[in-house]
Amino acid sequence: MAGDTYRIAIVGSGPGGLSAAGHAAKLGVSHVLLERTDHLSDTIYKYQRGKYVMSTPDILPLRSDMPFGAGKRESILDHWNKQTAELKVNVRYNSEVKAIQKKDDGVFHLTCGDGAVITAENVILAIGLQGNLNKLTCPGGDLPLVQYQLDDPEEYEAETIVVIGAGDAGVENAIALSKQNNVVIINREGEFLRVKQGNLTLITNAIDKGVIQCFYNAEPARVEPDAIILNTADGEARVPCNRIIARIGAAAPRKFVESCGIKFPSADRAALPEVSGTYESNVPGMYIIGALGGYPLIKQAMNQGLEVVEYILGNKIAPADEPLLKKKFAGLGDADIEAVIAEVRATIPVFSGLNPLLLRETMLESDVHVLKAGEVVFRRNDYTNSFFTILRGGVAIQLSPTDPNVVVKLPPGAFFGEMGLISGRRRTATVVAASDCVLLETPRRTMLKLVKSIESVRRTLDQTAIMRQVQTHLAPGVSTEALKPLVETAEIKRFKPGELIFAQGDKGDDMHLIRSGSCTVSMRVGGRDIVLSYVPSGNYVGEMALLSDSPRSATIRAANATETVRLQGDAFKALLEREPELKAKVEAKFRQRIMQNEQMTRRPEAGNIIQFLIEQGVGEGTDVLLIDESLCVHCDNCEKACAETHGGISRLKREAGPTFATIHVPTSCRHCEHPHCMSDCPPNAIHRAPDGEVYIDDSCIGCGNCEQNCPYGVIQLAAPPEVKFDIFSWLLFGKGPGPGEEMSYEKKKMAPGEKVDKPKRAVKCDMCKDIAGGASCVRACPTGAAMRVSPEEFMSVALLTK
Amino acid sequence: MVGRGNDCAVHLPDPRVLLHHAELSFRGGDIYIGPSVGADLRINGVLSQMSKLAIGDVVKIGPYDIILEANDGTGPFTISVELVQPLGDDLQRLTSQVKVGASWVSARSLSWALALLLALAFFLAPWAASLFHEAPPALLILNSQQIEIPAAPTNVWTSGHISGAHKFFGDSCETCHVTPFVRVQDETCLTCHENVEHHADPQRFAFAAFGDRSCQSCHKEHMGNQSIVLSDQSFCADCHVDMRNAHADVGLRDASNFGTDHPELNPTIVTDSALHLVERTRSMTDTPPPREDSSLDFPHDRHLRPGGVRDPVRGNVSLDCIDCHRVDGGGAYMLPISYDKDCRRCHALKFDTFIPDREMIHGQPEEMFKQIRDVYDAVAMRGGYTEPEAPELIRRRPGTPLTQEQKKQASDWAAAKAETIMNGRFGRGQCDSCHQIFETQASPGPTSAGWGVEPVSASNVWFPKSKFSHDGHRDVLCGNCHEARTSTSSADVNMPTLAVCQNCHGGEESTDKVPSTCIMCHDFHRQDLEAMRQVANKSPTDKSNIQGAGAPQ
Amino acid sequence: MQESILVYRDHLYFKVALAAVLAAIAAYVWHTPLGAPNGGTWLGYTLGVAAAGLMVWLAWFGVRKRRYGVGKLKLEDWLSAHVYLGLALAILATLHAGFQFGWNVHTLLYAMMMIVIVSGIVGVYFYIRFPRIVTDNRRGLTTEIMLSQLADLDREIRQLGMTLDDATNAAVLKATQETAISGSLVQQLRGFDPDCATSAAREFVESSESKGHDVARRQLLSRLVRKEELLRRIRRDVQLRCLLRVWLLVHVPVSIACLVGLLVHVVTVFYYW
Repeated sequence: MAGDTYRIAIVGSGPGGLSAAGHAAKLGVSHVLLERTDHLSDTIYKYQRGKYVMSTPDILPLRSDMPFGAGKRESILDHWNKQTAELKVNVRYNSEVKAIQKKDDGVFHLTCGDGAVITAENVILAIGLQGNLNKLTCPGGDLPLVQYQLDDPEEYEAETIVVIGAGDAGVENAIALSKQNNVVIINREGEFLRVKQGNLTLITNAIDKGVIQCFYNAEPARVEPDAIILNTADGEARVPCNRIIARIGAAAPRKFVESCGIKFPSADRAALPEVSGTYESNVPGMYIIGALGGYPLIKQAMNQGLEVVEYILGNKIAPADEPLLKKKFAGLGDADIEAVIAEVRATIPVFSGLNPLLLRETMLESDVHVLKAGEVVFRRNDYTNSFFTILRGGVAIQLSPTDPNVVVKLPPGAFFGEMGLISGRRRTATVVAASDCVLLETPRRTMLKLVKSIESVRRTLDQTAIMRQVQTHLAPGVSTEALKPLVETAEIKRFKPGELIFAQGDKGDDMHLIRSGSCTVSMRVGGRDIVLSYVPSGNYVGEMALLSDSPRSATIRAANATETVRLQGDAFKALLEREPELKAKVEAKFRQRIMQNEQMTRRPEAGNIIQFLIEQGVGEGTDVLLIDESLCVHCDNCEKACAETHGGISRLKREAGPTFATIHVPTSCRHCEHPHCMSDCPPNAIHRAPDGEVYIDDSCIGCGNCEQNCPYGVIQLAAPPEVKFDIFSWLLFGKGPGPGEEMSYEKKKMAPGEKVDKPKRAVKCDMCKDIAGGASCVRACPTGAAMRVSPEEFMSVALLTK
Repeated sequence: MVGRGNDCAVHLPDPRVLLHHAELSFRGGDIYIGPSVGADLRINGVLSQMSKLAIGDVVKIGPYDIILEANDGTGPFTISVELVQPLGDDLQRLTSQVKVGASWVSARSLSWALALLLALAFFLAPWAASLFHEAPPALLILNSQQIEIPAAPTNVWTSGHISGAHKFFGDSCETCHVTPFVRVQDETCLTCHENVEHHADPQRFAFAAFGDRSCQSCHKEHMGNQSIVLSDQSFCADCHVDMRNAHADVGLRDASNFGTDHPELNPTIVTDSALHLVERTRSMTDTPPPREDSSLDFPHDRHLRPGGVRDPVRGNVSLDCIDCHRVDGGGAYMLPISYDKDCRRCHALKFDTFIPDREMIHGQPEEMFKQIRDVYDAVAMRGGYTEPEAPELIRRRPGTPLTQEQKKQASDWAAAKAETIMNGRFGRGQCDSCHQIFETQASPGPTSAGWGVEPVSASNVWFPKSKFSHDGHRDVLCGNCHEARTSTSSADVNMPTLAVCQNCHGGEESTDKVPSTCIMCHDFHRQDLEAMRQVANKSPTDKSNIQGAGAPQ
Repeated sequence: MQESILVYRDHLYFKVALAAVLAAIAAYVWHTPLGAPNGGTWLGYTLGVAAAGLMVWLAWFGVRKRRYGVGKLKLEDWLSAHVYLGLALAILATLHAGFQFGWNVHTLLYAMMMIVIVSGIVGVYFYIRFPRIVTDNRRGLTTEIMLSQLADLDREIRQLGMTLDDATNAAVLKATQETAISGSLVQQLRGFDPDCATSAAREFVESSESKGHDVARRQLLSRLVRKEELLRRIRRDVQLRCLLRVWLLVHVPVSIACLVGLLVHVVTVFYYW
């Protein structure tokens, strides 16, 4: 065997390896592709049958000799097989690489499972992580009833199946299986922490409904031929079952990788080996791409496959996104991208913590604006929520809504627009270019991802953000220096919906500035809590106790997931002493609140309505459809209007939903501050329009995540009916469907199954943003019962009901 | 025991099974089943009482099938119980029940039904029928005295009752509405109302021809059971309110409202009987008042004297208007006064007390002269005349023959006597008491006497341009309007003044008087002018046909 | 908290309609045609055209209501205007006719129009009055919830019945199986079921002297009473919602007939001009 030495040996035929091999084959470079199993790309091969595979990130172009696009698992595998054959890729199946040694002559010797030794000058490790799934370590883990993946959930019927692992994989399997099996899921923790929002909703519902049984804080003790024994908080539990599916994650096959001489930066279980810009590891000639190199996305891996081959051949090939970035930065003159990236990294602290590829990706998703002095970036009360950073020049933030000359200037490297990002509310100030400047606009979603994943981003963001929030909402016009002592005491607090922020009677030594979410103020009157008011983000609470040096006069609860900036009372008082003007303002507000509270305690029913609306989650909405039941004649014209103005599908269910007094909250989108539906949309099809409407654009792939994520069930997957409502033919002859009616398929004599083929899309209320004249439901209400309100209007609504 | 009771060996937990539904019993290896009281039990579909079961029998208890199966090794036989008719899902059943509104009828279907019914019953049907409907012309109906006219099927389309005058053919629409969607044409009206005169001389007043108007623009039909003659005051007043300036040459005075704006009445009277001048220049209230020269001498006051007048026969009688003035047949006007009817009773024209049975001829003076002469000739010839102053020869016993000489004497006497009578108190004197005498140089002859009697020329209708009905005023005393009792001369015009009329009559809107519009006294179409519309192709002979086909309005 | 159609926009459309009516009346009083006032005078024609136009416009509401997302005005504007101008039509049409009536298509049209207007008034009354009653009657429950409660009660009742003697069980079974809720239009409008199996069962259980199982009996009774109460509310709900629609079965068809009548009226009037 030692005779012919391959130029490149590729280990693992996943997307990355396949792409690399494909390119090598195309270039006629001598190569070998080593695959452990008897088929290509095992991981994807083992996806659930029919699983829809995404091709994120969309903006990143695919650069590979292997075809790839979002689609069904089957079709993707097919294309690859075809292409592999066409390119005559030299694949060696069933050859698991046991060891890789670099001989002194710089040639790698790869020892396969069957004992064969393959020699190559370069090695590309594209083994990913799934290659070695974590196995059950407990006794009996090797019994036949234990399996580590689920190919086709339909395969099993009327079995009792235990799913171990509370990750997405486990949850997805469990849910898929629960359709026709009796499923038990084992969760190491007390709740499902590591899953996507969508899966979380699904699994929790399933468990609440008893469709799936769940053992929390449980570990498998041992497996028996027909059962599994669990260690639970209260002793052992025996769960008889026909099948055990363990989805307990995968880790880098560390032992093996290290045996190849590759070092890991840390001992952390999740740590990955470090690679250079050319994907070369610390072992020269050994390259690492794909998940193992830290790039879990298929497209990335495939691009890397091609690139790494080029590198090995000594070609300096620009990354795939080069042309795109060039286009983006065209505005800066024909600058070299590397240079620009470097500049970004150097000037903008928020981004300096990102690794090169992540930074490039971020840049790809961001927009570059080149503005002349005086041009407006965005206006107060716009509902845009993207994030801006200044690359060159500077901007001025107009603090006062009236006087455009009250401004704060920001230098290069600074960022702005983060408040919209955090609070999910309208812009609080107008921003104009102070001088000719270059701005980077990063979309909300990208930014949130960064904030979540990159600690450095979050830190830098928060520091400035807090100062800004204090400056905007609490102490406008007070200099940064003056605020420093106060802000230094600040800490960010997060509250779950309904969680207590502080209670009436507590001793008050701090105050909270609500920076996202909202909360309710309630007071004990005659033994029961009465809601006095609703406080949206951008306001502060708790100042009363400080000013009056008395215990809390009311209870504050988070109306929905809320973030507050907690400020030390003493520091605040000190500030007030230094700033008499501010003090006056705060005290004015203080008096006003006392009066308002007094007023409200005298009319609990209004408070009850607020309470009710908050309970309906209206609190986190920005624009909610309410129906005045004292006027509603149940004609359902609102639903019909909705359907007819949205291609025959109503996004609104009038009757469904709770009623209190004469206020009815129909099932319809509230356009939340932080839309749950946005949180996990693969094609990023859900956006917020400048006027605040949350809408889904045509790039929806119908994955259903948003439907699951929406806690209010206002999103549905639907296909537009083929038969459209035609007013006159219906009015005159009853021909076709009536307004808002689905023409039943029996009526249309459709072949069974035809319906299935229609691609379903997620549909939700878009507040008729594309229709002049506003929301159709409200306009179509003959009796004026339907209305749209924003939480800030609750008080007025509540009072008006008197 | 078989039943839903917990104590049953075969427990059938279903409400449709009785507590203790049936009894299974074993006798000698056989199995029997029997229903308990009031229980329904079927073996292989037949309603059964206590009976023996064979392998394979199916016992139906409520929703259950109990099947007796062959031995499976454990015992002589097996009983399998199967719920074949489970209870339906309540929620489904209930949900399927709830429906609001009617399913069998929809607003749409009702709409169609009503709409079509309406269109059919009230439009298509009448219209279709009208195509076959023959509408006879009004004239034919009228003159053939044909009473029953085929009613038009389109009667439902009428926009209101037809006027009284036209009722007799009002049921046949096409008689007037000849062509659809075309207004009723004047020709159609003219088939009956041929000679409807102009209102004013079209030569002088272009507008008076009303060329731009059709009959029906004034005479509106289908306005209910009433005359279609416009009685609106404004209709006339529009023009007549200002005739003086607008049409000075007509010489008409302004009138717009009988109560408030109407000229004083001008009687049409004879101002010179000799020249027979008829004038209408002075109004009743002018001073001096209009005087009529009728050549008659009749003081009303003397005849109507309260004490009464002497009647040669009845002695003293007091007269009243109606003793002489009588209304004509139509009840509108008074008949002319005639000597024979009205005067003679008192004023018999006797001329010789010795010839009491003879009266003078009235109204023809010449005849009267001749008559007198003849009378006395005859007396002289016969004799027996008893006046004392008369000669013997005349007073002789009648019938005594006369000689030639005597004859001559007698005729001379006769001639002389006649002259004295004629020119004496009985002759000329008597005429003169009522009439005016004039001298003539007439050649002597049998029919002349050198004087004559003026013919009487009194007007009979003083207000010819207006209509008046004495009959209509029957209950009003004559004196209220005619001041005859104080009238000393027949020259007085004893006609009422405007004021007198206005005592009772006011304008259109008058509330305290009889509302009276112009049309009450005056006609719009003036009979003294020629026809307003010329009828195309209509020969005069047709006129005979339309006598009385409705008087011209 | 929202304005009802009657007070909508501070009675804007009421004022409009009132203005129209007053104008018409003024004109009618001032105008003295030759002969009696009627549809043939210039005022008559004017009023006629206005009324006809109004009629068509009012009928157009049926279409506008279903033309969604178009026009500047809210549907509430239309309805408010529909109501008030509809009332105005009654007066305009009467003046147009000059109070002349007879046995003919024209008066027929008038009569039908009046029927429509009156039914409309009824409808408005319902629309104003019922929503609150419906809401109160529902106590915040939707139909589905009420029905599912009913179903649950049925199940419980059946369970309890099975433990009791056959007679009771039979009555109870009937009660659970033969619950009539809406049924025909008449039944819906009646709002109660004269021979309600549930009531029968309740009376039966009340009257029948206890043969042991007192607990079950008492539970059964309470369930039956609860079901009766629930049924009463559901039937009431159906009744009210039925009323909210049923008037349209008069209003709509007759108004469509009116359109045809209008056409006939106009054509015939000029057919015999």
